Amino acid sequence: MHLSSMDSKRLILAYIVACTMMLFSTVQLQADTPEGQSTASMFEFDETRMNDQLQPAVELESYLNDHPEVSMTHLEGQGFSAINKGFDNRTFSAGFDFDDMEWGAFAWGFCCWPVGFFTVAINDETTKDEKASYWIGVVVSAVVGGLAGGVGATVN
Amino acid sequence: MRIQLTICFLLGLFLSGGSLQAQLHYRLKADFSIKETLSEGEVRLTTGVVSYDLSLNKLIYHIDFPEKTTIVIQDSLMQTLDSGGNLTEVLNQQDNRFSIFALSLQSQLADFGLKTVGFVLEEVTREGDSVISRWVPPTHLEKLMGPIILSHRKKVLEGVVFLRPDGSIRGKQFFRDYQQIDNLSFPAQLIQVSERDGSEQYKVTEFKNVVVNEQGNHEVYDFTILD
Repeated sequence: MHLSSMDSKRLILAYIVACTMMLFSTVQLQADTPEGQSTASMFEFDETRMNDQLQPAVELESYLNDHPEVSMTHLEGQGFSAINKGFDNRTFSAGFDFDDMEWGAFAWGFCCWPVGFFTVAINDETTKDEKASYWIGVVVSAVVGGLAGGVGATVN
Repeated sequence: MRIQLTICFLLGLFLSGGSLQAQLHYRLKADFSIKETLSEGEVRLTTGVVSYDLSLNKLIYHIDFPEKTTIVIQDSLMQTLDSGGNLTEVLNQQDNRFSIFALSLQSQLADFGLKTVGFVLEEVTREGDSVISRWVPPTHLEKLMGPIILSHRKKVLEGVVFLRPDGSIRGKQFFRDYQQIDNLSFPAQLIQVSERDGSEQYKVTEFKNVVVNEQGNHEVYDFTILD
């Protein structure tokens, strides 16, 4: 079966359109990724660094497997004290930390807490991080205000 | 006659396969170890046994190291009982239904449970051996969280990247060493990577001796800390 000249042109045109659409979709996806990273690169991390940093914990775990009844004092004597950080239940919960600070909500709490109370603290549409940031702002504002008042009273 | 037998055999094979797929998984218990980096180059090791019952939606950690501690997480409450008998109760910010245990038991780990919470699949691309899918949050969550990107290899979830609404990366998770236990696919290693002050922080959770659908032993799965 031979393709006519017109059919060949249509095939080539369809191929070009398909290639352009595929290219566009890839560019579109990559444009939405942080700072122009390709999507695949977003899944990369420094595994060598991770293994190096966690090596003391790997050694301790291995020692504990071989000596399950060993005491903490014994472990400290074996030089494992460096990683004896004790238990912390934040390991099992999504705790609030500085990285989670929502500065907009903090500003409401710090600068204008009565309005922030309605816009952030009791607003169902705000996140826990925003609520926590708001209350941190309120507390910081109170502490700074107290210190400023104290300094002012001392000066006067 | 031969054709009828063949049809019956294929039908039986199909139905038995279907019933295996539909097998209900409701309980999981495993030994775990968590190795994590802390600030200033310190690391922490925590080991113990974790158990989860889907119907109770109760997550229980019996910790052996660094000190005997029991944690019970249910609904919005996280109770911690230390070796000295001191009980602390804090607000739980995570929903057990989206834990690796619940998602695995319900066979929802493949899409990370995103479909259930209203995320919409926006785009799917293939990059090498991996299939990358981009999920966008429902409209009412758009201001609070950004898209979530999943990476699958050989049809199992391999990695998750969480983006902030501004497109920056909030964190990453990687699921490795999948095991088949009683027809349940469960990753033996979970790596969490978060970025803080320009450097990566790591948390590696490993599971061993995984038991699925343990019969009896109800007190393990419904352990209660008495106040």
